[in-house]
Amino acid sequence: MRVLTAQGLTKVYGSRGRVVTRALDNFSLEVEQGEFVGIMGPSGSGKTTLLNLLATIDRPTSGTVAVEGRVTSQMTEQELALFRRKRLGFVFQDFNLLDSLTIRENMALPLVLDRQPPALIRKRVEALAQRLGIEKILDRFPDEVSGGEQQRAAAGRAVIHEPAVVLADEPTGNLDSRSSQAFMEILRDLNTSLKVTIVMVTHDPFAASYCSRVVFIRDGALYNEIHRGDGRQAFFQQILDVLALLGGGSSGS
Amino acid sequence: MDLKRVAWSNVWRNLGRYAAYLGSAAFAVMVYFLFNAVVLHPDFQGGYRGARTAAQAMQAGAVVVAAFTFFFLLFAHAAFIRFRRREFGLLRLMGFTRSQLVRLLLWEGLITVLAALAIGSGLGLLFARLFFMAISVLLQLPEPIPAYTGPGVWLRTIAVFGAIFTVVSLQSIREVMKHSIAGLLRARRRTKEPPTYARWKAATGTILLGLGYAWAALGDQEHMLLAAVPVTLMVSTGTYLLVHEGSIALLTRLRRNQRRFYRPVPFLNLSQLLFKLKDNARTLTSVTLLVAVILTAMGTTYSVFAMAREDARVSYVHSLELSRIGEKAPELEDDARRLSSLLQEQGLEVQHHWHLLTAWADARFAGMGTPSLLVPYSLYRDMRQAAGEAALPVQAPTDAVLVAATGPLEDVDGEPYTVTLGDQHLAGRIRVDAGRRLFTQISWALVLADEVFAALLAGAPEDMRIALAAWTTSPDIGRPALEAQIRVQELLAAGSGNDVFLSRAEIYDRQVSEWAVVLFMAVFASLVFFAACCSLLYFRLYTEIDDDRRYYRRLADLGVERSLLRQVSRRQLMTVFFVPFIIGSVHFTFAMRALSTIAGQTVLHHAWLVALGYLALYGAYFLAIQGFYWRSLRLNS
Repeated sequence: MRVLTAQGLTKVYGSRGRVVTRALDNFSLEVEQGEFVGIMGPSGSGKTTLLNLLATIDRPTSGTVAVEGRVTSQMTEQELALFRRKRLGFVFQDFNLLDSLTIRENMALPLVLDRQPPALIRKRVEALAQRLGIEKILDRFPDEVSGGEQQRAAAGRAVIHEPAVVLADEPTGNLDSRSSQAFMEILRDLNTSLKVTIVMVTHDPFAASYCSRVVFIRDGALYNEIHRGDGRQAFFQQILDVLALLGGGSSGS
Repeated sequence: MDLKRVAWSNVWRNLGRYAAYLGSAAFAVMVYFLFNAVVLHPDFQGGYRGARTAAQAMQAGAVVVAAFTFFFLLFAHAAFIRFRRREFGLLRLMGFTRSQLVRLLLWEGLITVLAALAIGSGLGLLFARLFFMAISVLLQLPEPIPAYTGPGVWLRTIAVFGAIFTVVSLQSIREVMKHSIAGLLRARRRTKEPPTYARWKAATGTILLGLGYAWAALGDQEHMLLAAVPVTLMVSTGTYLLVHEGSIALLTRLRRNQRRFYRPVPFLNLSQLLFKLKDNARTLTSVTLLVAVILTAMGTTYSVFAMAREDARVSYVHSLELSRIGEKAPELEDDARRLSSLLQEQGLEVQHHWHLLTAWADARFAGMGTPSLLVPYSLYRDMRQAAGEAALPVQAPTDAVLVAATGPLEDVDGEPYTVTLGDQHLAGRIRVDAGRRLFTQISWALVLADEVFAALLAGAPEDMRIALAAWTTSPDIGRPALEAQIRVQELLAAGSGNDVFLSRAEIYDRQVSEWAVVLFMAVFASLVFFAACCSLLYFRLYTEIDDDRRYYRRLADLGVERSLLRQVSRRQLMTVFFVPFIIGSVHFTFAMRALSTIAGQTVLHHAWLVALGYLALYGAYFLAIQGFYWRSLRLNS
């Protein structure tokens, strides 16, 4: 089943006589249910713009985004907020946990906003925390736990309400290599066991090697697309090869 | 770019943060300037009725405003400096020497003081005419007093506020210099620890507040004034402890209640309130105490004003009273008749008119001896009837009624009495009608049967004689009554040197106009407090606006609807604004309860009127700030 369809996305910044930047140029992408898609590209290639359009926090100049068949550009601001809350999950580079809430409460947030009964919330949070390996820190506040644990909690918050798709923006960008690896294992587990659909923007080839497919963007347009074959190691090498061809440095966002 | 320019751009850049602070400082300068304009006004050295009272009230107000401004600026400036510590650390890191930093701070201080002084005294100059016009109206002067802003006013304002700002600047420099560069840089990195509840603090707070309240509510009249200081200290300390510990206890409890807590608005609200609790508690306490102080000061002044007004009405039994002692006493009757017609000519309707020629007699009863005014029973009965009350009945012709201003005198009731006037004596039983006066000037009147009275009076020596005349007119008080009475008095003045003339309209007018000026001053002084209170709240919000913006943005990104965010932010603001107001009002109610005890009558209805007025003002400020705050979050861009 197709979960996400982006068609002919174009985003132009800075009109009104100023320099015009075409951040995305007629870009299309389709994501199937249960896929784990990576998006890579050099700085300024349009990765973040694409993610913002998919996340509905920015509107395209032309083209459409549809999630589960619903076209987001036709929704009102209010409908979009509701849609984001119910059908999308987010993982950010800087975790974006609320400092005033405990880890448990941060994870529970989407369900609370959805007015789910407390007993169900509790059950779901605890089950998910077990899977994420953060059950012991549930009642601590974000600034009392490590970055890796914060990001795992953020992943928990992103999937707890069973969204159609989870959008991750450089989720390993603020983590050390060990935490990065642990976090990617978690994402893969969520993807394979819970069939969570994930679209992840990253500049980290190691993180990208956990994906089932990686899409490369350059100058706002599709450059290449590779699918994972047998092993992660081989896929990692493949990604590095494309990046080498892509040039322009793969770091930054 | 020299230090002056850096200082200038610092002040300019921080203007948003400084605005409320600078505004309330400038307002204080203006009020101080205006008060001193009255104090130093040559016309207020005497000359007008009530001029001296006005000048004294303004002098007292000026001292209070200056003292308060000093402490407020000390507190507010310390908060700014704390907020900017990191910035100073960076400057030191980049090679600013200590002396350069000191000079920078001095320049900033100078710019601030000059701005506050310029704005404040400029506004003072602008409003001086209006201010004097208002005072002239309140004092009911025939023509407005010309505005005065002589050099003394400027000199005092500049000297006092210059000194205040100097001390405040020096204090801030000391604060910055105390820390090492690393210490300054570390300043704002500290994260907020979750607050912990201390049972003993909560208990101490409760006990202090409870004792303070109990003392204020139950103390007796005699010792209430002594209680003011300890009660204030107990309530202030108790408030801080209880606001802090109480909110931790309450919020934590609510947070544990999953069924209530796990709903969108409480979920976000409670967690955020708990998160900010430590920082909020200090502001909440300050605002609470300021609200209590403002309300109490205004409530007291207004109650005293209202009581003075009421007192003038109650203690003057008749609209007009005239008395004459000695040999010329019998002539008063003719003058009184003339006065009646004069009053009518002046447009006053005479509703009752009494006349009495009598004498002082020596009365003895229940072991007491007192000179008492003799009154015939018929006059007593008529006067009581005119007041809509029944006269005390007597049985035997020798029975007397003692009309006493003070009371109760139960142990005198039914006792035997004797009266001596010249060489005549009379004895009988006495009845007591306590807590009343027949004439304003008379505290003790002995009412006798008409024929007994006539017989006694016939033998009265000339020097014991007194004639009294009284009128009840309509209108009774207010400008027309007063003016008519003054004219009558002037017409009558010729020829009767030792007459005593008492006018209710006059006393009422004097009380009202003098207290009105005091009230007017108090309103201005309390507005300085109010401005400070508002700027504390403003500063609290402004300091956290970046954090708040991030918080609400994150929620918006996660798909929380704008309407819900607005609801959450409004609830947060309402808590910070109105919890202190409510607690402050409770403090205030107990203070007014204590004032009622001192005054011997309840003043709560006056007090709540004042509180309602302030609530309206405060509510308007809340609405303005709420809109401003929501726009500052910039969630729409």
